Amino acid sequence: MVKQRDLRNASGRGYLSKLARDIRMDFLLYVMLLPGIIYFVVFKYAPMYGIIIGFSDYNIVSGFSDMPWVGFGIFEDLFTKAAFQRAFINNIKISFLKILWGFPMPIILSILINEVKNLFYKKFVQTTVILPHFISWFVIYGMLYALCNLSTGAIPEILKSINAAFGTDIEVVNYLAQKETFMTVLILSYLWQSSGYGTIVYLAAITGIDQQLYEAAMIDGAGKMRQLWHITLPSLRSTIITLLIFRVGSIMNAGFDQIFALSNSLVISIADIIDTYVYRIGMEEAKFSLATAAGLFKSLIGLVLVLGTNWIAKKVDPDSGIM
Amino acid sequence: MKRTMSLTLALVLALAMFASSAFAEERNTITLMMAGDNTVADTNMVLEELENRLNLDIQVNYISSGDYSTKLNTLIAADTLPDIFNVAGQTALDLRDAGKIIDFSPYLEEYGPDILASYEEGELEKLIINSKGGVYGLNNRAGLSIVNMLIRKDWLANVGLDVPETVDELYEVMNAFTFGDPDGNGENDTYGFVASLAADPTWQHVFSAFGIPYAKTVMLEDGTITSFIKHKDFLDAVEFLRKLYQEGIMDPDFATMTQMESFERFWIGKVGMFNWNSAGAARNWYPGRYTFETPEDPGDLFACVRIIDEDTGLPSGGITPYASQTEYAAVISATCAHPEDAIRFINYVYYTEEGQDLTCLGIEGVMYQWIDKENGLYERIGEYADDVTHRAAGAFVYNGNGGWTVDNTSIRTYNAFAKASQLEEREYQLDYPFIPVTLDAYTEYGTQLREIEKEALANLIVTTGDVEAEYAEYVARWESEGGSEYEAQMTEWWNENR
Amino acid sequence: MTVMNPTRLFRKKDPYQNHISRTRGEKIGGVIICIFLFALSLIMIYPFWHVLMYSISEPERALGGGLFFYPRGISFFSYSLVLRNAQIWIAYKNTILKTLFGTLISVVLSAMTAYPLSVKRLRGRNFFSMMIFFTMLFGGGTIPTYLLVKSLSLIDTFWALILPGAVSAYNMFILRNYMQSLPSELEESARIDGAMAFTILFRIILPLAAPSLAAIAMFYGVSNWNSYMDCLLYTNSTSLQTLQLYLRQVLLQTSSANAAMTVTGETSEYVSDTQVQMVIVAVSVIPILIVYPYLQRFYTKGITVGAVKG
Repeated sequence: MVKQRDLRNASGRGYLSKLARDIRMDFLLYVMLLPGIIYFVVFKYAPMYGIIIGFSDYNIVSGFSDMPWVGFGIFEDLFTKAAFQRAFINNIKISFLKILWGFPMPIILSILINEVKNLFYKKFVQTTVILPHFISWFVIYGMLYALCNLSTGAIPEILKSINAAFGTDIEVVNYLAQKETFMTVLILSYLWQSSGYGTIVYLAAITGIDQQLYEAAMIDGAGKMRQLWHITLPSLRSTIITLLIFRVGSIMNAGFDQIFALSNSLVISIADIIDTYVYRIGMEEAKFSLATAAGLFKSLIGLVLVLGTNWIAKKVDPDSGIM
Repeated sequence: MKRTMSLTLALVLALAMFASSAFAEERNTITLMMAGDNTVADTNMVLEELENRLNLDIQVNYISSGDYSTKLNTLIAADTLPDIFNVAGQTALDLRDAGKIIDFSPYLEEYGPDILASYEEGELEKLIINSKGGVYGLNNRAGLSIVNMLIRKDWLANVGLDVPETVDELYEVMNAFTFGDPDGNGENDTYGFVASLAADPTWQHVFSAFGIPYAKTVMLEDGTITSFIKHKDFLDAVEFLRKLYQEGIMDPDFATMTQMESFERFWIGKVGMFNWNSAGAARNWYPGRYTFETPEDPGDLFACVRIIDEDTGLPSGGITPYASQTEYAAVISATCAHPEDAIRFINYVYYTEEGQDLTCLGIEGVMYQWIDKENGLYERIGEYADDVTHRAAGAFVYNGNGGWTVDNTSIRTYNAFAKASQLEEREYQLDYPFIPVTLDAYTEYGTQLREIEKEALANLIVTTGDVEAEYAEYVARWESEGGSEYEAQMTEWWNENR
Repeated sequence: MTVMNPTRLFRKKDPYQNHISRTRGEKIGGVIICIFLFALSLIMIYPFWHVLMYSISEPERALGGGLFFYPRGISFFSYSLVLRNAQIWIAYKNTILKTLFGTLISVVLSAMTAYPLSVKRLRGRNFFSMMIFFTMLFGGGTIPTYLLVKSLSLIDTFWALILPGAVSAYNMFILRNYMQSLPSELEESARIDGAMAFTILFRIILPLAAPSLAAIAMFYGVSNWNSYMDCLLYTNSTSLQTLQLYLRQVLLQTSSANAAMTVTGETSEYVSDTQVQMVIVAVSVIPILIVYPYLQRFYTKGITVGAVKG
């Protein structure tokens, strides 16, 4: 492949004619790509003019025709609010913790599941781990409440009986209502809800690894750990990097549904994130300008981080990265 | 071949035209969008009956209440409004000013006699949407239900106390309801007070006892209209709640409990005093939801608590319900082809007894029958006794609230206890300076300020630090995050309009 | 292609190193993993178990919270409440159609987009990738999208439930990534044999990409199954109502905040909102659970590239 390109470069023809020849050579690939590109242009790019809502005083009644331009006015309004700043900091904290704990979890889980040899058991585990993903956060909240509440909750009951039996003095509190413990509940419930669903991609990628590699490795006498280190992980590398880039890109999405369902007035000072804040101030009226501006801000941060991560990934391994 | 085809085509066209013109002559079409949480097919018995009675083709876009504003906002933005819809707050005023909804006062005399009859002189003009003259919107006045504080008489008898009338007595009863084994099961598993930050009504009477309208606006001595957290007695109420919390009289999970869980505590008999609209507790869900023995008449089980306000010497009850003035108003879109038909529809369905009964209870003689119409006693017949079948046939769908008049189907069918306790509570209602939600500062900061109020209350109840200092901090935060501006606008509005 | 050459990786290793202890260690390790995963499964299964047990308990006895390891009495009343209405079957039908057609269209479109972008020599590959990626971060928002769907005359049609969300950039990239990891010799040798791009994609690449296709089919299927904003915004008639929209209405119907305004419970039977919520979770999740093990077939057993190549 490389050789062909070099030859063509050396032939001294103009760039355009080379381009034309390359395109002609892969004409069918472009034809194949066309429907997808049309989709993205029509359904994603055509409505993108909506971004100007974030820079204007948009009102649903007067619509796009009568929309005074306010430049960065809405952004300024947003950034100067103390509650927004609080939400921004919480947002970064929560997201960071979620990536730190949540990103490796599906990978570890997939590798463990892949070690199960009994097919029935494997399917059983694979199915059960994705279950929590389908339960809405409001239902999960109901269960957490059943575990944590002080009148009938399972955990306080257990703690109380431990205290009674051993004469210990463990403080019995509602973990959902304490600033000190709420973050732990948030991260644990997140891990529990999302790790299993995350295994789907990794298990598919592991399945795609050529079995001949493992066979050869076993003949060479490589142990499990070595196979893991030299075959499984290198084969998963590009998937891991791609998913990490996407995950970093969505760093500003700290999990609206979860926090909306789980937080309460006692912990809001550490749990309020940009999305919940914007939802709240946008609730009274259809404040599309504000929501758009906040969304743009989040996306821009995401874009910068993605380009950065992608660049680093390319430095480390030129074949990886999304672009 | 060609000839046959063109002939066929012409025939089809002619037929289609004939069909459509015949249809058009017979019935006008009106489209409407309404919020409601029922699962009903596009065509059903009640809708057909309604179409026949009004001689209209009615197309309903039925949206679940939680999604109604999302859908409406999108339709407004896309300028594809249905003929009749409900809209609230500033958006309603914007639509009026942009000419997207019509002044239908010219049609009222001829097509809306029951509408006119149901409002008192000058009442329609008082609605914010009609404040610039004309009639652009009608409001639902049936939502004026007031919150009662119900107390269980059997528990009172068990602990040997009377219905409390002062704050001290209230404390005494709550204390006994917690530690005096009011349900007689020998276990310490009850609470004197259960409230949830997710349900505003659950706090009303405790705050009313201190003269504070919970989560509403108050007027300070200097005439400033502001949040209830700045009421001069707010800290007294907080101290009362702190005491309940620290002594274990109040359910400690008030911040994490959902509204439904707080209701459930009442249903399963873990709390004997609860703030609730008596109609909700004593009518719709009585006795089905309670897991303990219930007498036939809810009046034998419940009494209403009203604490005498030390300042005024009068008993104070639930907060005056002003909701209807800010609630959704029914409006007619400027694109409506037959405004007179739209008015006829609104008039019949929302304002006549006949229309209310049809849309709320169903078809008389088929789906329900009156036992004692005077006293609002009825029974549902045959398969329609079942809620699901009843609603699938279209009853309780198009007008679930029972109509927009003060005395609508829903209220006409209350039981004696619910009716009486609602009327009585009104005599002791706690009034407050009502401010419409259309103020700029409200749309800008309203929900955020409410959140700060809740954060303040929750933290002040549980804190072990310096309550007064923390309170001052919360007030300062409330003021700096838009509260001062809101205060100024409310005061100005109040002085101009009252 | 380093991965493809196992001998180079392991040449230097002593084949007999730790041979005996390894197998024993591995066996013990395997058992530990199995036990660990079993414990994990229990934790993961509990919420759904809770939902199921709560949903079939007697509504009055289910009140009062706590954990549900077994049902408290047996009652299918809430199920009948949700399932008795004829409308749910219309909603099921629509959702199944949407999931089947939507997923099929999505997977085919994604594959057709992913494959060209996985061919490294393709001119403009980075540009197109970037262009698609950009839509993951930036979008026009609800209103411009609604106006678009309206201008395409899709409002209140079945297509409005399928087309606006047909391709997910995320899924497309996952598939592309997987295709990239396949040995490029496959494609090259096929091309030399005179196979056209479409033939290569459908005959060679897709069979090899089965695990990844199954994964994204799962993602598309689940999001089609659970989506409801598109149905809410783009359709008006109840004949096009989808399951999630129907269920949301059932849920709100029983948990109407303003108790005074509802007539629910006029009948003697007791309705528990929480239980209806549980039933709703069950009826929407169980179909997914029935289908998922069939999809797993495609990625529980490893594949051998050489076998396909030969």
